[in-house]
Amino acid sequence: MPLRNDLVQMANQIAANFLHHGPEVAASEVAAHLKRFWAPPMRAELLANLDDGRLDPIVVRAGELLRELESAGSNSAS
Amino acid sequence: MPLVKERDLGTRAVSGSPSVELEIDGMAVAVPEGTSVMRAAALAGIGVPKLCATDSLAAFGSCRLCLVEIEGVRGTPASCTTPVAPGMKVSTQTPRLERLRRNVMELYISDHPLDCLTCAANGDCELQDMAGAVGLREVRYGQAGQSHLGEVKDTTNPYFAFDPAKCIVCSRCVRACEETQGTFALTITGRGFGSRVAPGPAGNFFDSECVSCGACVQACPTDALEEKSVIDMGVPDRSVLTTCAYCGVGCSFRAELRGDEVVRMVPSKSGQANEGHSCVKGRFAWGYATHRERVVKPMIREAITDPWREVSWEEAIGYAGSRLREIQATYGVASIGGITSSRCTNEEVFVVQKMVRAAFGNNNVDTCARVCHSPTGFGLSQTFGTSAGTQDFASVAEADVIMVVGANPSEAHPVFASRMKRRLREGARLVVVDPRRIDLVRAPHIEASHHLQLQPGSNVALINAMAHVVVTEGLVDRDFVSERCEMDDFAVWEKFISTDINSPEATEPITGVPAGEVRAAARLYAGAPNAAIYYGLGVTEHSQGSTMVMGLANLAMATGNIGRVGVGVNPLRGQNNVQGSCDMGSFPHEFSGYRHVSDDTVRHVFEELWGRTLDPEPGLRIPNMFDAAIEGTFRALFVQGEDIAQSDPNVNHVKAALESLELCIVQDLFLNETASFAHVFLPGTSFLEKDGTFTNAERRINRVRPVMAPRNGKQEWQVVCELSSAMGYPMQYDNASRIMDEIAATTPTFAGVSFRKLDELGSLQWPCNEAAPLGTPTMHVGTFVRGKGRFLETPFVPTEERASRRYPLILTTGRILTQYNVGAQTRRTGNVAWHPEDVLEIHPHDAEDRGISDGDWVTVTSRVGQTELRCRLSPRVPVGVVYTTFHHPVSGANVVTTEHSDWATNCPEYKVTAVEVRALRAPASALHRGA
Repeated sequence: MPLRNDLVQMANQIAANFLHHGPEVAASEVAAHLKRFWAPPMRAELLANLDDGRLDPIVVRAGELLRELESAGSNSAS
Repeated sequence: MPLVKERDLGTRAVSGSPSVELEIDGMAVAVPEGTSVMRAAALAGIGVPKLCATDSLAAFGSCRLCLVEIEGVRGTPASCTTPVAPGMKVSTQTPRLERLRRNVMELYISDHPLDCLTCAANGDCELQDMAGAVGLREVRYGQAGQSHLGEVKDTTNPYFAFDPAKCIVCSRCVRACEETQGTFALTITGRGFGSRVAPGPAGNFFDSECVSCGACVQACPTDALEEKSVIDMGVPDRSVLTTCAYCGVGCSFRAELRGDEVVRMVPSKSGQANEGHSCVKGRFAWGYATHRERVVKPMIREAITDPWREVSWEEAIGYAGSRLREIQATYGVASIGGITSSRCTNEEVFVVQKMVRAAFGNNNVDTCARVCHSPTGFGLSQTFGTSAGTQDFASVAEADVIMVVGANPSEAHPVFASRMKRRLREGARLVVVDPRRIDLVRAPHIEASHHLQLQPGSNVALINAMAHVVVTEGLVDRDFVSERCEMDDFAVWEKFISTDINSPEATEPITGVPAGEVRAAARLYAGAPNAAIYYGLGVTEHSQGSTMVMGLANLAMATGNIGRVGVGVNPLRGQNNVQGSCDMGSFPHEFSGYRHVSDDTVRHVFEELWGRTLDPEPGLRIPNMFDAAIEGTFRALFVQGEDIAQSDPNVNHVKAALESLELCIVQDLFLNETASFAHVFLPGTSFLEKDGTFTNAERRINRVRPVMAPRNGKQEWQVVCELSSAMGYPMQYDNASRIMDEIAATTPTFAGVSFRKLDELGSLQWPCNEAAPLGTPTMHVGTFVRGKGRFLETPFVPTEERASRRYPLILTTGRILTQYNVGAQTRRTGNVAWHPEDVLEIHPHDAEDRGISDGDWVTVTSRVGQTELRCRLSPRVPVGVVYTTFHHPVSGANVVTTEHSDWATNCPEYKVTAVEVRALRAPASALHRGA
């Protein structure tokens, strides 16, 4: 399933607001934000489409970090 | 309960002064220094006759009825204007005083209709009472001479009438308009015998500047200013103390009734939020509760194209429950969800989110606060540690500088605005940050020191510029910061905010605000002994709403304006229970008390009590639900008391989402716009029928008491419990207080709250627990909720919604005094007399460029939709900005607003929509409804 426009827009917007931290910290912050506030189906759709081409590189990197978090099985978002 | 008349002690209370001992009628009395003799007597149980005095107003000393004799003092001074003195010996009843008072009353009555038996105020008239109190037995002057008895009654106001024949020109109404409301609409014209109350030069109340707050009616000691409902129905005979269901001020009212019919709503002096004041909505616009369009029977239909079919509660709930389970069986547990309402009680909201989490088995619960103050929750949690305003309303009386940001309290929070205006008239300085010239910028006896008229969408750039001035000009409160805040975070923030990019000069092209004005405003705020921030949706409803909230918090911390009376960061909540609905765990990622669903310890508390394993992952937010509905993965929605098809942005998108659902359940008073897409309608209860609590913008939990039986036969929380039970998860409470007990048992900030305690104390401000058994008027005293305050960098990121050649104007939306939210309530009251339709405000220059004249119909077109509105030429908006309200569904203001939203919370960016406005060339009458 292609990545929904709203998810692209939201993810890129989150990245833009963490950009000032620098790419790696920003990606980490974005990943934490997505884990804390996005419902699992939204996260899954994003992770399944990290190569969508419309995503900010920080979001792509955040997706990789998020995937690691998810596979580690951590529920903690707090 | 029987009719309660609040005691009037004649003059205002004085507090905090040393006690003065005196003797009144031989009784020893001790009162604070500065207290009037009249009040001292009243406190001792001695009533001094009075007409022009009332304890909500400053003493006036005009009626000459409250005269007393004081040993060693010549003459007979007025007790209302005479302060007590140590050792003073006062006599309130002597033959000389009795004679004088009778003579005064005789003069009053000589020019007053002798129609007590047929007067609407019979039995509720101070003039009548005083005639009895002074023993008036005859009027020697007759009524044949010149009088005011033939003067014409003014019935132009929808809610009250003014009968000059019954006016005794005591000036209480004029003073109430000035001192209590702060509008200065009334005056006394003429002199001597020709003196009369007049609603300004307009000549009648409706066309005057009167805002119909009711303060004058409340203050009037006779029938001169009287509620039309009292004239029609008679004087009430019982009353119930309850809480208004309009804005986030949460005013306490006595609902006064005859039988089960409300005669009038009278603001309660004991109400800690409003202290006896009211606005036109709470005071008068309650008629919707019994409006003929109320739906009181459950209804269902298979398809939204079918007609509604009235059914029993059992059938409606059974149908809804089984359909929800069928949909989950087909599409999965996460395919359904619910939306709670900020108009409902804490108890009603709590059971809905419990139903979603425990019965639905997911966290797809959100609240209408998503579209207003969700950035407040995010921003204040990040910086201070909790999602709430820091002060009580009374705190504003200690503020020296008040900064109002993106809020229009005169229209949206009028009773708090009156408090604020009082402080401003006392000399506090004012900074207004708003693209529009709101009433506060220049009001009677008030003028903002600075109106920072910024471009919509540039909030963060502006607040950064103010903070830049504070940091670079050495205005940081270093002691506060080092003692109270995380120093590492402060150092990062200080470096960020000091960079030239944040200077007023660098941001001027973005904000449009002259750098000098920004610098001056920042210096004023930072230099004040007490500076307080009050903000509204003009802060939150932006793509950087959360960032702006953090920016305000940074500014307050940097200047040490947190943690005591007179300062703080205060969100003015829109609806009556926005604070409460958020507190109650309505957000998809949080349980009650703002605790994340992934927190195992917290989740286990609920799992143990509720007997269900709960989802540790966040659910869908409202906009996510809409998108998932269109995608086909979200199939059923329960909507409690919220009209998302009118209030949410890009309503065409919302309607498409609703239309795609297999099941939509609406619990509401009326068949609103959302109900057009519903399959099940569960009739709700009005605030006059509810039993529970609301939490206002100052975290004050107030009781909402049932004034009459539910017209639908059930409390809303009962209906939700029955629906949950029908889904196989039984929920049962004996009464609403049991729900509050569960809230208290599971929510640390509510641990000390109970109906019994609320009934005893009147109200409580959370946190209320073992550490603060009487509640917490001021937060973050000594330490922040999170320990140390946290500065956060707030870089300005422009919104993606930009003006262009095709859409060159920016539309921003707001509220108007007489209407409330989507207007479902106020449109069904006499308030439509003031605001029968939404209008578009446009600057005369923009109008001229487009050939538009005042009153013309225009099209407003954005990237997502088009609507038509009548326009008003107004210099209140700057060139390039247009403004409207969304109180009428026919106006379709949210047809044009877009889905751009706050980056952190998805709160819609209602305040910035690029549009073009064009004149409609055909005659309006040919195009529009009744125009």
